[in-house]
Amino acid sequence: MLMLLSLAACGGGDDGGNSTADADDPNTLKVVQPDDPGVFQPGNNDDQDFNRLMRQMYETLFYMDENGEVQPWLATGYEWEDDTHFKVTLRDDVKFSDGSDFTAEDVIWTITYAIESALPNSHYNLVDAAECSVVDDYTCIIGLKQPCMTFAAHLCLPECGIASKAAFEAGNGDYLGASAIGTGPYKLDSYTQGDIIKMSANEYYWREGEPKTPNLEIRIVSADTTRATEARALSSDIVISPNTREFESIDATDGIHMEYGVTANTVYLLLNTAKAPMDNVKVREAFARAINVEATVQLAYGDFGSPASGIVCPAILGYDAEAYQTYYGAGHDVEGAKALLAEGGYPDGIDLEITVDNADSQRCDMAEAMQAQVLEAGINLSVNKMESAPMREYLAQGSHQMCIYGFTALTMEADGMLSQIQPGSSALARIGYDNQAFFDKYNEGAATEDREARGEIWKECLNMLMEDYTMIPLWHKSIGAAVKDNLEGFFWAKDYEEIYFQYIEKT
Amino acid sequence: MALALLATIVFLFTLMEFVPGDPALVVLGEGATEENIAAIHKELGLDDPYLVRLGRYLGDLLQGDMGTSYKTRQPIAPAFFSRLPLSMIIAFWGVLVGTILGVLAGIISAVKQYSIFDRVLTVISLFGASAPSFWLAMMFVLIFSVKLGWLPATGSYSFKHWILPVVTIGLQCSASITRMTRSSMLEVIRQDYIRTARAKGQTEIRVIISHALRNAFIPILTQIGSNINGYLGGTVLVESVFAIPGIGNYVLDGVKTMDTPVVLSGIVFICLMCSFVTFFIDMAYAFIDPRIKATYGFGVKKKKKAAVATAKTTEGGEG
Repeated sequence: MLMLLSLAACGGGDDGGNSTADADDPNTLKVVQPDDPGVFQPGNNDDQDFNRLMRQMYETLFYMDENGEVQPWLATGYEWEDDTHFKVTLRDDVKFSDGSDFTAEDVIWTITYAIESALPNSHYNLVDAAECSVVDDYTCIIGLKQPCMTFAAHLCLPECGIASKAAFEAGNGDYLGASAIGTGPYKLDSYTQGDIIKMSANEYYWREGEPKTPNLEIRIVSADTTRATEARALSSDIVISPNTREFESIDATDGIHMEYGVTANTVYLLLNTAKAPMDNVKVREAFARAINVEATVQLAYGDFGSPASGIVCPAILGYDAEAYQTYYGAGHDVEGAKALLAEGGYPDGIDLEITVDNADSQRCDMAEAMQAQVLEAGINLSVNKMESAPMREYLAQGSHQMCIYGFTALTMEADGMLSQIQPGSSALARIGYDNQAFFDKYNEGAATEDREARGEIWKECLNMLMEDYTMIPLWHKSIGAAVKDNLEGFFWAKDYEEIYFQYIEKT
Repeated sequence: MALALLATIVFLFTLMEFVPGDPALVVLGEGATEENIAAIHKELGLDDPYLVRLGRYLGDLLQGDMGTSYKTRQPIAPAFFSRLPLSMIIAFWGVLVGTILGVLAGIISAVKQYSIFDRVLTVISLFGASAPSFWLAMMFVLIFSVKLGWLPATGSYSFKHWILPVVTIGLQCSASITRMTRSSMLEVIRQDYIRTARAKGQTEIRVIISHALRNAFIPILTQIGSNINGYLGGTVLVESVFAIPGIGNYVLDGVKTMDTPVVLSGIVFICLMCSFVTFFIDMAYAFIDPRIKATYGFGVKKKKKAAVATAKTTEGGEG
């Protein structure tokens, strides 16, 4: 201890080469987030942390405003040439961070390259690369395999950020260096894997006066308790997703507070309708009655987020609280569950198994809470905790009976979730749902241009899922970030839990 | 050493074969389509037979190619070597601090056996051995960063950033060295040659340092070597608490994401470094203990040369 104190006293500010800016430096925004991007190529990953970084370097054709409606960003507008050809006109005053012009060729190249390289950007699964074409420097046509009237909303997501074709060729695809060129407010200065990303203002940025803070430093801190400590030590300006149990202590710290955001993500109990005995609808309904959703959510998340009130979040087109009440309104009904089990051919009770990711402590807590709740109804539930990677394969093969999993309605319409459980998607095996009427109804909705009419079709699709008890919504997710009191311009954007750092300045 | 490394590689590669999970699903995420999964399998060569993939991996490794990460599709070597120095700094400085503290505490405990010093130091070393490193680390962060604000909570950017992680590892490491030094010293200080040294009028410090500690140092050195080896790749928890991007976390992330090339290359390199550390520790034995030096043959040539020179001088004298 004595040695530690002496060392602390002797330690000067002799930063090494990989130094960080002082916490009070007004020209540098210091951010801490959980995951490392690994590479700076738009579409190379589908998680929020990766995309939050991509958004600072690469921009999308459209964005979602505070109401969740699609607005132009790099584009000036769009129109449907026919059901499957989406024509986009682009701004003519945009330049990449290397000073070269942004053109329609870059848009089409970014999309076709992602498809040909099988990048994990699921939004381009809809695109028919052969039908994409450049009309002129600032106009292009994106061809789709099938109608999708919410396609513009897909293009709002940072996975669909536009990269420079010329930089790709010049840098030979080095997305840690020369090829990592976009039109975003920041450009990449340096990257130490697993540690820190340094960015500075793009001098060619087309939006005047932005970014408001010229330098951006993003540190990777994977442990959520460590992120909470970092917030309480006031070493960073923004700390994303600190440990939920420490929100109160962060709020109680002078100089920093929590900022919460509502997301489009709902966590579900997915019931595999293709796997016995869950192929029996009575068993599925009995399970829905046997659990206590509110108590389960309270145990796992406390007051953070909210227990499900619909099969998608309230802000999503297709949300229907009444339909939710019809199917799940009975709540925790032990006698009803017993009767349903008896009707289903299990009067003496049943053994079931739930699969959860053992890295997600809240989902493990939920599974264990359910395990205790359903026992009363005669259901002996075992909890199968698995590592993330083997679990993905286990679920993709449909080997599970039920699992806890989240879906995000990325387009702010129910199709953002529904599209993930359509034929051809590995996520469909999680509910093992084989209902042609459901798939047809989804396709009908996707081809409907009128938003209101589309909303009604989404409700019908969601009703089918509820009627068949394929998925039980549990929790509407929230997100939180610790933000220093002297920051202005922070908000959680609608599109995939993003933050637009370009609007933030220190006062 | 080469044979042991080869066996390790083949064993690890085979072990990874039995780990359930499809890397393509991890790479592609939630929106994976069957078409894309097939494309990734082809790109990564996952459909090739086991022996073909093993041969390819060994061939690449022989040419110095550590492979490409499944997750990022970028070469592993730059990422690995940017993290390696951090892990080495933690391991070596931590063990150095632990050795200094441990040897000092062990000597005091042995020399003052059953005294209050011995008992207090034994309790401290037992605490160091039993306290989990992540708990110790969290406590230090809460006290010195959050409460007092003297040291940075996380990161690895300056001397100040290194103090808490090095002291955390040092304290834990010192526990085993204290116990080893104490028991080894107790054995040595009862020997006749120690009594002889004292009888010759040498100071107590000289007796302890030059005669007792030197003879007791072989097992301590073995303990130091095994600590360095352990901390080279095994400081994952400390790396997590202090957000230090070392190789422990890199390999652990590889395990979580089924990134087989990252796991294999990481462990193989850690094995290689451990082999070198063990080799240098073995060499160090010879410099501490003349008997071991003699078995290696060090100094034999010198003696022979000296003998020849003496003989020549004698011959010359006669002439």
